[in-house]
Amino acid sequence: MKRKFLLFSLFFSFLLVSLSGIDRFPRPEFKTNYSTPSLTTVPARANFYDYIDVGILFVSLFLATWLGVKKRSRRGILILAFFSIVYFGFWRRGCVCSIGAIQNVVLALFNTTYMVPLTVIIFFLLPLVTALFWGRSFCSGVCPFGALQEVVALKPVRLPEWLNRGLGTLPLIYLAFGILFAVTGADFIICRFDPFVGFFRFGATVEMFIYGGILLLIGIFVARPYCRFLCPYGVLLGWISQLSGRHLTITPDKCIDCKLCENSCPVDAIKKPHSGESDPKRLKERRMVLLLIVLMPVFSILLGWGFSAAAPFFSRLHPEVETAYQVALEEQGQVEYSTLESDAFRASGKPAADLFARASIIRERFRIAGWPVGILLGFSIVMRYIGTFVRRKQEGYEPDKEACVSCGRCFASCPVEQQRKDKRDNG
Amino acid sequence: MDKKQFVYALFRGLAVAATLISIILCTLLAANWLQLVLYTPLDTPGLKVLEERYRENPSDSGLLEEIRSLDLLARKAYFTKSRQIRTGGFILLGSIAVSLIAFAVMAQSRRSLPVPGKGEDSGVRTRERRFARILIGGVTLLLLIVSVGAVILSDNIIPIGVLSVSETVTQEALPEADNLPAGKMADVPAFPADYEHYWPAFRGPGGVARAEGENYPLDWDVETGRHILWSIGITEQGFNSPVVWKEQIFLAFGDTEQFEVVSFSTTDGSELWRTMVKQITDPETLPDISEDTGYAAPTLATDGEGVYGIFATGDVFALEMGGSIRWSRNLGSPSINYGHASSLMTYKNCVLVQYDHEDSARIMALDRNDGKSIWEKKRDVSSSWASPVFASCGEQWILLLNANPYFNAYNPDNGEELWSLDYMNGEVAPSPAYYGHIAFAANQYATLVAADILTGDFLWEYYDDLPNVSSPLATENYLILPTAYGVVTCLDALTGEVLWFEEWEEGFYSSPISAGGNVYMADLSGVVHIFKPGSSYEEVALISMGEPVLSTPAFSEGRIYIRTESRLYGIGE
Repeated sequence: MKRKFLLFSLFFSFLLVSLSGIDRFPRPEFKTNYSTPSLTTVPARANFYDYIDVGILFVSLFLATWLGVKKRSRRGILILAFFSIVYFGFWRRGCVCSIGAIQNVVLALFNTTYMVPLTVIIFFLLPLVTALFWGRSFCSGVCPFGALQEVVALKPVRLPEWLNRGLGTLPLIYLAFGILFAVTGADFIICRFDPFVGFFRFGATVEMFIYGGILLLIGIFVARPYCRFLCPYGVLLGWISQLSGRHLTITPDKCIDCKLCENSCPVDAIKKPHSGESDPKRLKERRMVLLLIVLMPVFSILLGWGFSAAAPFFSRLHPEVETAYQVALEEQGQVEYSTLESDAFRASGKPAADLFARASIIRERFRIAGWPVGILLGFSIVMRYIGTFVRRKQEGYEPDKEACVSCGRCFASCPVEQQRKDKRDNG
Repeated sequence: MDKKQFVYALFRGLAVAATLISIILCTLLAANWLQLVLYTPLDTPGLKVLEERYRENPSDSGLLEEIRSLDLLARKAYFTKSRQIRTGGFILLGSIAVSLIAFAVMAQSRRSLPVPGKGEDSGVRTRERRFARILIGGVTLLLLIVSVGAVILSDNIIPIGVLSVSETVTQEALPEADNLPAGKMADVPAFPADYEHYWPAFRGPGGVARAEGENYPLDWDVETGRHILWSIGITEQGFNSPVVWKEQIFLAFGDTEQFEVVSFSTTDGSELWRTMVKQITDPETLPDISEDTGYAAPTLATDGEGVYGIFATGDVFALEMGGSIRWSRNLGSPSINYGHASSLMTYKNCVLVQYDHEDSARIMALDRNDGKSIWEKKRDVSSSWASPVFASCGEQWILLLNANPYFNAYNPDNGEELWSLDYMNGEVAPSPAYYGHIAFAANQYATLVAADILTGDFLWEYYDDLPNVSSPLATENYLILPTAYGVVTCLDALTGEVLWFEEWEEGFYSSPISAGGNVYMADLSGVVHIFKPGSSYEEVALISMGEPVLSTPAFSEGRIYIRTESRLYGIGE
């Protein structure tokens, strides 16, 4: 308890560190001829550093995979996690990251004027390619966010399966909105609401610090809350990971069904053996699944329609649309106040018609993009729902390839693994 | 005590120590931070009292010094505290890291044995899954409610249909210009209020080669640095001339690999931003260009709202003043010897593009907001490397274009041809000039023709020593003609009579500019000739830039920005 309190204090206080930087000094008004020097821009980072980052990502992924699948070393994964926090977190300041790269890639796919560097594409694709063969090695100790949560997960407790499955819907929704707002050029919300980048950069708003701090505090007891219940990239990794053929296993050999690993996974990603016997209630469940399959297109189209019809609302996240909205309200006399943005627009002397036209174009983009995003989200949610009915015969304890973050904590619980280690240590 | 117990004890001590240090540190930092947040440095009562007294007695220099000292102390204290917080933060980070590592080692060295689970319990599993379905259903229902709520709250308060919005709302490269829905010329002033204050296009505001202001440097020295405010090296390729708006200088660069626009600071030449303009056409089918034209010969244009440019690939684009891409489109790969070189010009809400090539010749007005055509006029001319020029006649603006065989005038609002003179031939690169009511166009081995700007009536003609790259300069009474082989002729603008000519060893590609009552002309060796326009040649200065100058300098707010072969200079006093 005392240790938990100490940890709590540590994290809470660390929030306060970077809450500075407010410009509390107005520029002085000189009566002499002194002219305030203009601000200079820091030159852009040389391109080859980005390729170094890609190289380090590649090596880190290789190491994470080797440590998890081949060497089966929890300690090695933990050390790699610390390295990732230092390099990808503090040194690279959390950017570019694979999570945010989703937005860059989708925007570039649908906007030919948007340039996405090759390195960002690699950051996006490389962990997915790794997941295709070896599972979510990226999450184990390469992703700085996962690594940060991994090192603070000191006393993880198990959550009920229903909570895991239910809250596991949230990343789908986050991914859908992230794609919608990115592809329409409105905002990169995944970056905007990044809870941990403020720590890596020693600077963020108070709200973001509190948000990140709360997640880390929760993370002491509920392992990796961001990874499990928010991370949009984790959705893609999870889907692809299910196809992996060489995923990390709990036991290095055949499972002896000792049940010792059952409670060892901090993210509740261990599937128990199942006999596969029929259940009298299975018929009812099958009917439900059939009904869901029939209703899936209806639900998906309904959600697609909803996202599209809500374009005027969602598009207001785009700063230009919001300014147009405010200017329109002012012109129609519906508000008496103006905002900084509308004042700045009027001071620019540009015609309001131009602004409205641009806003219309953006809103149209939302209308069109809302359909496929809503439909795909609907489809994904229904599939997730159907997944709660699926029962497969399984012998032995296995990691759930979709949810397992390859952290290796389960190794220590497996007596077969201990035997292997003893054999190796004794030569 | 065995090894594991020792390790555990050691790291426990370390963890406790590091944690205690962290708690002490963060208490101190928190107090420091609170002080920083709550305390407004310049609102101290003492300072306020002094300021009040100073306002009553502004001649009290002793009081002024006291205020300054207190102000400085307050600022020093503030920034010292900020630094302390930052340094403390790093130390705190380190101690937290040590704590975490220590806790992790403790956990590793004293692991509890795993407790066997209960195995599969189908009853529990069924119940869990039922609850999961309920929760998923709940989340889904919430999502639907949010969507429906968003639909209900959506309103179309923003007027739509102001432009003819096409169904294609992505920013993909648009098809041939003729097939696009038309944009609309806005009812706004031709140029922004401070347009003439800066250097927004090739040869300045409207392309007329005249700079606003009186005091421009008449001497500088690149070797000693006298009156050289700054100079930066440029290694990228491009022959376009600098354009200036407020504190930004814009240049475009292009080669076979990439196309970029860069903004430099007028204050110190530092790079403010660099935007790569994605090549819309197939990168493997770049048009043929000559090395002394390159892919980035056309000069950029700006109106303070955006930066507009075109490359030899036919890719035309608009950037925001901060560098982000607003739109880009391809006008069709140009079939033109040497490469496309005509620069852009802005007018009202559009960007004017003179796109005269062998396969097709046209003048276009593109909406600066989205690149759609506002109007387009096909021209019956051959390839031209000249750029548009704006002439003002009272309330009316006239667009002048020079090509083979026509010297044309257009109404820039709708592209209506006002008049046309069939006098030109050859490969036309010099842009038109005008002063007062006379418009001029010239080309080597062809002619120099002067015409009434409103009617297009022929006034006079001249045949000798004509420019083939640089453009003539018209001042109140004089017309200056620099050539590529070093001869510079001054004609009487009204009659065409030769007033004087000078011959230098080096020719001129850079166009002459009138600034502060003098004419500035840079030759190919990099010598800037400064002289007074008059009925006889009156040299003011000859200043060497040390290396060739091919582009035309920019003049803005008393400063000159000269691009030499490998450097960009900011010159001023």
